[in-house]
Amino acid sequence: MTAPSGSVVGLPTGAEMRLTGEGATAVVCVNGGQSGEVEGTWSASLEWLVRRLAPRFQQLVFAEVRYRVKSWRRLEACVEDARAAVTSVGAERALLLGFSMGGAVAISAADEPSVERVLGLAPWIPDRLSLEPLRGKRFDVLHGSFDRWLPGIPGVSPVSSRRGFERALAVGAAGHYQLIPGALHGIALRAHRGRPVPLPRAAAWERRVAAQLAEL
Amino acid sequence: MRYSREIEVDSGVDATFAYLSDFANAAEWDPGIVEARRLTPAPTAVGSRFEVIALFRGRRQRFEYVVTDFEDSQRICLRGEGGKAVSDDVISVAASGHRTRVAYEADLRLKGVYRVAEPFLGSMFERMGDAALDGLVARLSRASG
Repeated sequence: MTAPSGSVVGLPTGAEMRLTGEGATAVVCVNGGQSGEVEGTWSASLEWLVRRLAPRFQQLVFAEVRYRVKSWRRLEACVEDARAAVTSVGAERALLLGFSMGGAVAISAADEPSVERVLGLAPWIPDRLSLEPLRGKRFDVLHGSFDRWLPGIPGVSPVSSRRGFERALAVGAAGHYQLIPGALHGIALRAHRGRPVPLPRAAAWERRVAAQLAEL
Repeated sequence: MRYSREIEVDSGVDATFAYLSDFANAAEWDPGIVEARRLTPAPTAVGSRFEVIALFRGRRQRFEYVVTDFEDSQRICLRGEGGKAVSDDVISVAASGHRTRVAYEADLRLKGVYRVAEPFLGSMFERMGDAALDGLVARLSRASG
């Protein structure tokens, strides 16, 4: 009984998880969100990265999470969805890869015993968020230097993620913070329900994420 | 690999046993199980069969569970057989004041060449067991609340 790559399974919370590849180490990918309490979607940025990286990292299983509701007003529910994914995937070790609001979700779920590392992509790390789950874990951040560069365009400022990163080091996490010159908020966009289309500097994101996965 | 733990839930003995003995409900409370369904009609009795799909390292593994022993409102024993592993599960329930105590014992044995991986999988098996029973507490507390 082998499902094809990209098979979708339901989680007990009601969220969904899309699996690509198989392996003893999982890369659990959690999406961003918004203020409005809308139904979860598959992230174009994470999907684009998984499609590019899965063929190169055949010893890893990639698990993309589709939350029940993708909203920072329902952050606890998103964290429950992420925890369920980490358990359900059945891997001995896991890296949580969180994009935007998914950064806060990944940090909050990092105390799951199999989680060894968290990688935040333009992570939202609000000042009130407890970073205790990162104690003793590896925590790395990649952020586009042009994120929030134009007023009115949604995103997360690198200044705020840098502040969160410094707080994480103070609670006992270890890792690196890297700015990606010229990169925006996001790696790819979905063109009208179709495949993800890469944004400028997508290749730079891919190279840096690949370098992190090569350490697993 | 053995796993054993006791929990207490708020639901009554009969309701708790009825919920647990329909093993198709396992996908609702055990995050290690992504799909479960009956292969034989209700009610559950010795010989009842269930199909259970669990993930191992991201890949779907099919198990067929057979009820090997059944004492209504007290105890159910199941044997689950998959391509790579066999699991023997014993679930017992008993009244504990106004609550119900659930004892879960599982013994998972990997088959053939997979047996060499057992020492590495022990802690994962333990974690998945804990997650399942935490899920059961949450589920049955919600159902009775």
